[in-house]
Amino acid sequence: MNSKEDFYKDITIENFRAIEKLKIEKLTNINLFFGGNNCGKTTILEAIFAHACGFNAGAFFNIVLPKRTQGNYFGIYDMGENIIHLFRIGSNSFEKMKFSINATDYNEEKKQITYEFNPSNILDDLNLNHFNDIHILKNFNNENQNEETNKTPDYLGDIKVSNGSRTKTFPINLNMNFPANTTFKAANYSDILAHRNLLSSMAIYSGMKRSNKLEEFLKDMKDVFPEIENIEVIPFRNNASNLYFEVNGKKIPISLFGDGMRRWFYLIGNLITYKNSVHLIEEIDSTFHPDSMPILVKALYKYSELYGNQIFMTSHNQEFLEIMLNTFKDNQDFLENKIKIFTLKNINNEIKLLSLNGEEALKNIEDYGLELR
Amino acid sequence: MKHTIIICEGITDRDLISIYLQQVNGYTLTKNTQKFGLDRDQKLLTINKEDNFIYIIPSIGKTKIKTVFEKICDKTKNERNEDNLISKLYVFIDSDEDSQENLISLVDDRITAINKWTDIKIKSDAFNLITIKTILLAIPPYEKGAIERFVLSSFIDNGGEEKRIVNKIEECVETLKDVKYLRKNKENVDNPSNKRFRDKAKVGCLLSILSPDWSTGEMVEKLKQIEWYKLDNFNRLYEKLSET
Repeated sequence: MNSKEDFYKDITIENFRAIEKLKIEKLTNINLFFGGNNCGKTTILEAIFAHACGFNAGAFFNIVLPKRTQGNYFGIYDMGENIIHLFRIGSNSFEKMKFSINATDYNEEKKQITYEFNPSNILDDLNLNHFNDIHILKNFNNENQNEETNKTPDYLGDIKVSNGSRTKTFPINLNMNFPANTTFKAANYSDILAHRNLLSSMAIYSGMKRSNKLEEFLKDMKDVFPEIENIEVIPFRNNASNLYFEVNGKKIPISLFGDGMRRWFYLIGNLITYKNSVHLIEEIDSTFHPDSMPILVKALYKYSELYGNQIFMTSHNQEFLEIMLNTFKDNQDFLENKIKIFTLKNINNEIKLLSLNGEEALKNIEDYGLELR
Repeated sequence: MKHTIIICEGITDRDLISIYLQQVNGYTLTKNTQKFGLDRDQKLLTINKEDNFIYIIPSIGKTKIKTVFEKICDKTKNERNEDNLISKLYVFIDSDEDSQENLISLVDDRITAINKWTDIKIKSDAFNLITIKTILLAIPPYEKGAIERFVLSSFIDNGGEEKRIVNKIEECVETLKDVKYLRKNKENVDNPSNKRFRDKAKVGCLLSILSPDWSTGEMVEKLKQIEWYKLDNFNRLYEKLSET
């Protein structure tokens, strides 16, 4: 992505997790999904990630599934159940496990991706309707699998990925090994604890250092954490290395710092390292003190504009929203065109997606005291 | 919860409506919990009886009623909490010298007639279509003027000692109509705005006589001393409010 032309404009999600059909329109630089617990905010981020992954099913499965369980599964059935629940299953039946994500970019390019899961008979126990799904039993014969795969005891089924004209089929095993494939867009998914992954932080440091952006980043970071004097990677004698923040002349490993500082480094560093990308951030406000939020949101916007990053993030914190909107109170262009606030709300047993631009949201909060969650 | 809004023109209207509903319907003043994007001088009063909340908003000027009405519609359009939706809206407007059509145009053209309920439909992303039952009530209902004229006429119509007091006050204030204090419009003594000014003075005199202990107190305290529900005209004017 090089400009807003390559940003997602509209996305339609069908039969993904609990979503039957949801159209999200007029997306922009920063898209905040707002709402109470368990209303589907994270599901939307996952669906967007699925689209960005395109045919690269490995990236999708190895990011989206493990983050919900911190990578721990109670064996093959647990993993199978996690896969099954990517799909909206009518009447608990395995009959149609297929989701699709359609997207249109600002350059009017339209792309569709569908994932269809044909489970192996090992997941039979999880199909509450399996006696009625006789035709699925036929699939259980694993006709399409070669001899070798058939013999694998942890074979969960096939995933068929299609963009409407081209289809690729991947067998799914417990080790989740997929051959690399073409993506639609570069995408980076940050869950609430992603900043604790030291290897990711090292990659971010490396990216910024190589592109000579570390100094600029450090200057921004000092606005929030003035005590940070320097950031550097220092090798050990055994060729391993670690990432350090320097405070009062002392080099302290990053893992000893609080989550707020580490998450700042991780999120903003990601925007600088992974340019022209889709950034999906869960619970953006989490771990940040209200005092640091204005500078955080300024940095999000700065690196969205500067590096062509489109940001999708979730929150259920109205205080964060108010701080963000008030930070840009004098920036009419930002409020009107660069931020959208989408609220997911269950109204009379129907999931509604209510959207406002920044100006409308600010007016609703300031003038009418409205709760936008 | 049920939420009702009453828009009126001035602070006197607001206080009269609030006191009347407290005296007659058992409402009590309560802390306000809703915002309507009002100007600083449009100080609303909130009263409630159990889960029924009434917000009485003085627009501070006849021409500002429309803006307040529009803000209520805009808030309703954007409301996401079903518990906060407004179900009824009353607008009390001073008749002055205006025709019915003029009075309606000062509020909202969707209102079909004075003193008649209209369903105002508002499109909402959250709730599809929201209906606010709306009524426009002109004060005084059967003559020209404003709330002050209505107060004076109500006491005259009720007869007794108060009728004599009002008549005397009318006589006295009218003889003083050329004094500078009673001339909002300096050019023409008989300008309607001066007439309304004199009516305000007359109500002030009346309240001071009816409650002399409060003669230097706030107007609202004087208003509280009067048993408004004993005035038939008031009961007729506010009878629609008993439907809240």
